[in-house]
Amino acid sequence: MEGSKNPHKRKVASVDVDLRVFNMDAVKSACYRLADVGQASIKVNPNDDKYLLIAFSLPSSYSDAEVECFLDEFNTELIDYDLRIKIREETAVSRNLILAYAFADTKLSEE
Amino acid sequence: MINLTAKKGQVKNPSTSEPIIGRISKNANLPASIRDKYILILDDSSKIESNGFLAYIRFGEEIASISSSRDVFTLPETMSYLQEGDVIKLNPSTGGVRAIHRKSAHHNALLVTEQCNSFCLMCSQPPRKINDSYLVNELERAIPLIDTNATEICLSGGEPTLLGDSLFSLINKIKLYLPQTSLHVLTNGRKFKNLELAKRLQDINHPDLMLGIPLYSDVSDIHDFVVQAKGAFDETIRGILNLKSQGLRVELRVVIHKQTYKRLPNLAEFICRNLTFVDHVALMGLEITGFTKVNLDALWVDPCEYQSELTEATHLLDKFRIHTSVYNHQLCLLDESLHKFSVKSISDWKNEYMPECAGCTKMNECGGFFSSAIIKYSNNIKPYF
Amino acid sequence: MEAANLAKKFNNQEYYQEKLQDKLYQFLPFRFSRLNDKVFLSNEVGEYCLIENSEFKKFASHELNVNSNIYHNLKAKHFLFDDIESVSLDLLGIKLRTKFQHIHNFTSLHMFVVSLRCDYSCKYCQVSRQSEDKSQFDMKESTALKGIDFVFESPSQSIKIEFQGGESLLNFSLIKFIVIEAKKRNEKENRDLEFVIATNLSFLSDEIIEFCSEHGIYISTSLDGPEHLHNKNRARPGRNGYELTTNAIARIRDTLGPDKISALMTTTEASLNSVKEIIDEYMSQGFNSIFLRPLSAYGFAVKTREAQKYDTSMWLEFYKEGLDYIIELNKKGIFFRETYASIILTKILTPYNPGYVDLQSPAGAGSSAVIFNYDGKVYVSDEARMLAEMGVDKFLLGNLDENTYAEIMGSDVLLDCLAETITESVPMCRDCAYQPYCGADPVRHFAAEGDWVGHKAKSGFCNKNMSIFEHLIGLLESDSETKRILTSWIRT
Repeated sequence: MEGSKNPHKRKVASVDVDLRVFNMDAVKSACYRLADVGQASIKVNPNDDKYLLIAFSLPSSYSDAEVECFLDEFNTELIDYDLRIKIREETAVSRNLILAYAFADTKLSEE
Repeated sequence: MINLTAKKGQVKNPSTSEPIIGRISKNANLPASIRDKYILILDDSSKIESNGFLAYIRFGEEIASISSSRDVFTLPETMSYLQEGDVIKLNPSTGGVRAIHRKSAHHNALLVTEQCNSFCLMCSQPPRKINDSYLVNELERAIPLIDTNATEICLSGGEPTLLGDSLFSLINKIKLYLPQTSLHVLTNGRKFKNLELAKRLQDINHPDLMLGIPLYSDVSDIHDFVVQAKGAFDETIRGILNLKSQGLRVELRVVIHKQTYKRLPNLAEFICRNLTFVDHVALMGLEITGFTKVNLDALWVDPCEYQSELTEATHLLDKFRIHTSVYNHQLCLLDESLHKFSVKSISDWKNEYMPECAGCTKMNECGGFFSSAIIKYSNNIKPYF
Repeated sequence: MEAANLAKKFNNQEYYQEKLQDKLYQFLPFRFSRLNDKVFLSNEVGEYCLIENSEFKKFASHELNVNSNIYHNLKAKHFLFDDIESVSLDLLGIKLRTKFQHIHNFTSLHMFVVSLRCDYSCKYCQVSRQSEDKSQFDMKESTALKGIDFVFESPSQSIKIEFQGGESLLNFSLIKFIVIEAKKRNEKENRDLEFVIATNLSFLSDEIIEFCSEHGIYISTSLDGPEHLHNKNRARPGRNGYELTTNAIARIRDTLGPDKISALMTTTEASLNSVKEIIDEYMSQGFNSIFLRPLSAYGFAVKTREAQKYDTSMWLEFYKEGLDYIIELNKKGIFFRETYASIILTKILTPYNPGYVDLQSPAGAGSSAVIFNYDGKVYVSDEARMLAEMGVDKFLLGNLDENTYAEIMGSDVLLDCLAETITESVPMCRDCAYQPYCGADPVRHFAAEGDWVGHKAKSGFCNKNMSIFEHLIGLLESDSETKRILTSWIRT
């Protein structure tokens, strides 16, 4: 997600994310989730494409503590979304079985 | 407590060594053409004037001077409750008797086998690996003799589904000879994981059939532990699903003891979520008989201690409009809000009251105790005044 | 777990615990969200567990102790399985089918706007007209007949026909016409047919009461609160709306019966400080429930994002205060229900769908409910109709006088709307642990953001609902009496 131009008077906080550790989709989901507070601008590190550079544009009223808090939250979201991807992969087979069982033999699938 | 069986008695001039199954009559003047299905109760006189009955019974001491008719059984006084309309089996080899069906009794349980594929910690009819096919054979003979006004009969074991085809033919026979009688079959449901079996049962088309199936936990390995059989939980649930898919009525039975009471509310929640279509749930008190006696330490808990779990479970099931009853609990031990769910469920032949009950105004409404409870019962029995 | 003291031939519990080969257990599909310092997990059918963060970490790493209570709960509630033979997949399949049964039934609620004429000029209404000219703003019989045809095209066994306006009783003759025609058609169709008249009750008459009595019709009216509040929101000539409404409510209670009359409130900024008074008013009018509805939609299209956030947080305070008050009343032995909570609680605690149009995925708009305007135009919801009055006809499906059922209910507008907003797949909703309880609201999102999916991180709808879910779950986990009270509100 390409960040919009940085409106002046907003605070900026930056974070590096190692793509060997975190899934790209998890990064995007975490940024999306926090979008009402911080607008994210994501770039690949030109010197090392294993890293993403994310710049968050935060409300100008934020204190340093609040910025730290935001970054902690981002970190938690990132880990959580990464875990969700793992869970989705691990449960894909059983999920398909459950759906098949639910909708087999019902007119929904025949009509 | 009534004894349904007397192992030994006196028999005079047995005409056969095969078991005799017949229906009791008091009427010495029954038409001759039908006498051979009936067993006549002799009155005090020692003379037997009527002939042609299947057998004759009397109670008490043997009388030497009884006239030499054949098949005269003298049974112990304890069996003198037997009356007209009851169906009994007489054993000419031992002089023994077994009451198969009592007309006046509200609950009549017909034992179809003592074999079982589970081994419940609290089994009240411990399984025996013997060839007991004679039980079904005797029932096949007894069913046509049972009074057609019987309101309800129960098939139990052991595990009735182990009979295979004989179970289905027995149920069919009951349908044909006792079309107005409700049939309650107690089974662990495991064999019904095979859908074909459930279909076969539905094909019999019994007009009023309910299967009573025990479920002891929402957690599979706890249930398996209580019934001492691996995979039993999954099989039972599959059985229940198959039976319901065929439109058969299913009751869930939960015996409450030390191994099952803690998760009782969880089990209720599980039922409300997953088995919401069951026709009845029976939450039952422990009977101190059979295996319960040897496992008492692991099983006994005073009902007072689990009232909050029982209350929570019952009210949740009720909220989901699942018909729920509480069996085998004394009213004074039950939370007031549960009284309306409590049913006088103990068969009359095993029902008693304790000394502590003296003067209680609710004795009539209360189911009392199992006779076996004399071994162990709550310290908190208090009569209502 | 202490070993039970068993006789010799019996095995201990450990003997019956299955283990999968390389892991202790496998996950079943679930979602999770953090709730304060705990983790809230929900499965595909909305069963939940609330566990400590440390336990969640163990669970997620497949290291949870198989003898722990948490393990048992997660297994019984179908978050994990440890046996290939496990029946949990079958059970989940059945529960999922139950959860989606309503889709198969399709549209049940059909609203007929019989007239736009109205004697009131409520602050939040965009629709009504004060014109004397009946022909201009009343639905025609020919249109109504087409509407009835449309109704019976729906496969749903349960059909609800609701009369709306303007003020629906101003065209009572058409209401009579539709009821009688629909009942005639139903002699062959044999559906479960129910009628509701949404009305301000100004024009209630003996004739109307008798007709409603004869046909078992329900009445739904508006009661915004105590007199000063109600009359402030709902102006009419004579300024006597409250008096007229409450007298009529009492009259209906006595003639049609208390179960035939219900009331809805509309929340405005003026209501926000008076939730207890509003609830008291409902109790004194003999109602045993209240639906604390969101802030009236009007104006939401023009407000800034900041203003929306403010509105949402003010409304949430209003709601929580009202809910707390109602729970206190219940603790005193008064049975009184908050309707929105009871809908959500039904989704949390039961496998059943309470059928509330605005909390469904796929969206209830169209699939559950549909509205016929006086001019024959068909919209997915009442809000969509009101949006159209404001010039936005994004959700116009067609016209009864020009299009067939297939064209209308099979239209791209409807199908795209349902498909694109389904919460199982849109960003954030897809991963949200409250997804089973929530729903898509394409009309509201489109009006607020110009996008019917909506950016959920910025959406007032999402913010509001998540706060309510978290609040209700907190209450369920608080004390057993509160839990018992909330459980008593579910619809089974």
